[in-house]
Amino acid sequence: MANLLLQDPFSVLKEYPERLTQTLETPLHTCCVQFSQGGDYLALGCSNGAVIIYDMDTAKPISMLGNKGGGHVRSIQSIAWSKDGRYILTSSRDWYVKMWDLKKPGEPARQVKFDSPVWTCQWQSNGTLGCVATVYEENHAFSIDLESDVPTVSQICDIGQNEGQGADGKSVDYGYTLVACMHPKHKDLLLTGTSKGWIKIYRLSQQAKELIHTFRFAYSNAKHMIISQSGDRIAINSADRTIRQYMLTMNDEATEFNFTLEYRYQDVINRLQWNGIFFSSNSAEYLVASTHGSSAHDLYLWETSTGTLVRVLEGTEEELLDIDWDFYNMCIASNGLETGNVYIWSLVIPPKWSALAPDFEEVEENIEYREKEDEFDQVGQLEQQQELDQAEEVKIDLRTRESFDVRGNEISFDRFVIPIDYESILMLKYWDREN
Amino acid sequence: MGALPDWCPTYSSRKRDSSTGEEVFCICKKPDSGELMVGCDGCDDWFHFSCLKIPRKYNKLVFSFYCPYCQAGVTGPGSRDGNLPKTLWRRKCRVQDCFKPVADNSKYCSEEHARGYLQGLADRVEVRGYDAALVLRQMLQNADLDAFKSLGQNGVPKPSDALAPRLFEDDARLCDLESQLRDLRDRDKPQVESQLATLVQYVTWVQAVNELLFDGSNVQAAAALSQSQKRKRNIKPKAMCGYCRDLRIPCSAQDFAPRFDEEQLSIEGVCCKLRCSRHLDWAGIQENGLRFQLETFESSEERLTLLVKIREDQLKMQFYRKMVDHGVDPQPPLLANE
Repeated sequence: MANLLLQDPFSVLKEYPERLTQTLETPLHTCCVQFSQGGDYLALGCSNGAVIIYDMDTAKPISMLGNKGGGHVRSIQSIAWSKDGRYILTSSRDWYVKMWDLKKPGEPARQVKFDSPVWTCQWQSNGTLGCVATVYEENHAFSIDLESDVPTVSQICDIGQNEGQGADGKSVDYGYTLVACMHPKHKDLLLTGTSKGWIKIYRLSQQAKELIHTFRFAYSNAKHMIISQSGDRIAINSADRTIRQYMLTMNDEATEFNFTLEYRYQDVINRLQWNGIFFSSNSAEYLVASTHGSSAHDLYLWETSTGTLVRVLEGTEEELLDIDWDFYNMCIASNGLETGNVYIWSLVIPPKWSALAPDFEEVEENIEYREKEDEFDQVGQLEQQQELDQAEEVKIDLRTRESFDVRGNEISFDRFVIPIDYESILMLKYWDREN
Repeated sequence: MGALPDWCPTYSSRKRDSSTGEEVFCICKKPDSGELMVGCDGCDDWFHFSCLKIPRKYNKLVFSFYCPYCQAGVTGPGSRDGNLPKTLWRRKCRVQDCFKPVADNSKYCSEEHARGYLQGLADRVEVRGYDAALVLRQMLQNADLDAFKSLGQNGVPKPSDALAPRLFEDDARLCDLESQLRDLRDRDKPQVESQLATLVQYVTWVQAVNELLFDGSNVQAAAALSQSQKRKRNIKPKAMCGYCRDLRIPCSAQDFAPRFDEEQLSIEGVCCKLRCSRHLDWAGIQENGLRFQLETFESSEERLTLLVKIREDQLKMQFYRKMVDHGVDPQPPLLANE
């Protein structure tokens, strides 16, 4: 990426992508997309269980997980990159959750088999290799510890308190746990959404898993639950064709929670379901969603503070499913239902020539230049030397990394670079020569 | 008498222009204007190159020239004894654009052109990955075309039997590859194969149980179906799920069937739900998984064998380079057969 500071700030700092700029045509049918932390790579989960990693600079596939065995054999349900970009979690309808180490992408580093298809998987944010998975027809989510070679699985359910008891002592059926997300600020908080429209908040610690809050948002399935980077906005896409956007407030100790409904997004005319939802960065000023049904081919983007539709991202000719937003390169990826291609919307920044020289001006026609009287006069040698000396005295810091990029995204973390697979290049060369 | 070419006018013995009295030459009967001419060895007349349609550049190549009239026998020796003479040419230099005659005992006009021509040929020799000059030299040494064609067919030449074990056994990378290959063949593959066998066995058991339990009702259902004109065509035969985590057969199908109870969800870890959506297609998923594993093992095996071969070739090449560096002169790699 070119140096963004040199570009036109009004284009660079636009808050959402505007135009369809790229289509990744894959031979396999993509069913979910996920950018790596810094937006360097894009992982595509396919319906046959393959996971392909695209390099976003070249828009070419660079790696396929499990090409030496141990890949998934049913469609991928979710993908999660670790924060440092070295590990990937995948969950699939073949009942497995697998963890991949991109240093050796040929085989899964860890794998766990459940007794039914796995809906989602994501990293726990406590800094260890741990994962939260939600599984088909299971009342509770699962916590998987992936640190050791043989992962251990435990149910996330409060044993101390009787979980089936509501506030008034009556037993409550929360239904199956379908979705889960970790709170980005309070690293020990897990939010889960259930098939009966409940949100349950757990506090996870080494010793116990404590249910600390429940809240009912609807009487239907939670399909997706997302939380903003700042942790105070939550959106839930549920099977009643509504996306509910809540403001989540809590006290300092994170013991009391309050959900305030801000907006409900519905397609009032066609009553369409929403296929996928995603928040923009930081405090989530925008919400983007894809719609179910063959008539809709666009992504809708709302402003979360007013609830108004501000942009329709168009350009595709098929229904869109999963959505992921790369805040670093300001692009949104979504996969099509029919072809399985991946569409990418991004910013188109017009070239700004004045960046090359500060006094550069674009002119409509040629102007004959008239030299000013003193324009090329030699300035006093001494003065010049002094100026040069001064310029040299200013120390330029080339080592300290900035912690935020122009758009306010955190960049202080290390980005893992997927090593080049020389072996396969050697093999290709050999095959070429043989055949 | 031979025929004249059609562009040539009939012979005229005129030697002087009738009006000016100047001497005239050639078939055009014009005086000498300084244009390039050639003397006929038969009739001693002079002829323009342009009139005879001979390119000027051939002027150095004329050995003995006879004009069209002499060649046709109108004049010259042919008119006397009937032996029609022909123009003779010198051999031209092999370089395409050079129209000088060849030097004695050569195909070229000069040493310089000879070198240039051969260099041009050598430049056209293009063998991927090899030095063209080297290949040419090989070609010259190997006069036999078939022997030349078979060069390099035998792969990289092998080091001697005494040296080979040391060369290969000391290489960590090669050892690693070979142990991977061994693991794959002796451990991983049989393991997955046995898992697959267990699965197949278990699935047969589940089928047997299902047959004992529901065969009758399914037949009835099918019969009912045909009576209701098969309105619900894709109704699945009634069957219990049968999924069991460790695929352990608890008892024989005959013993298990009587214990089955529609109310009970599982017996000894075997899922007994009818139309179980949770474990839907469990057998298919597991079988796909195992077969996929076997497939990747097969391609891994192929890949590893190939890598072993590549590594061996690399080692052999290194060995050869070293030999050459130390002044031991093996046959050039291209020439070596076995």
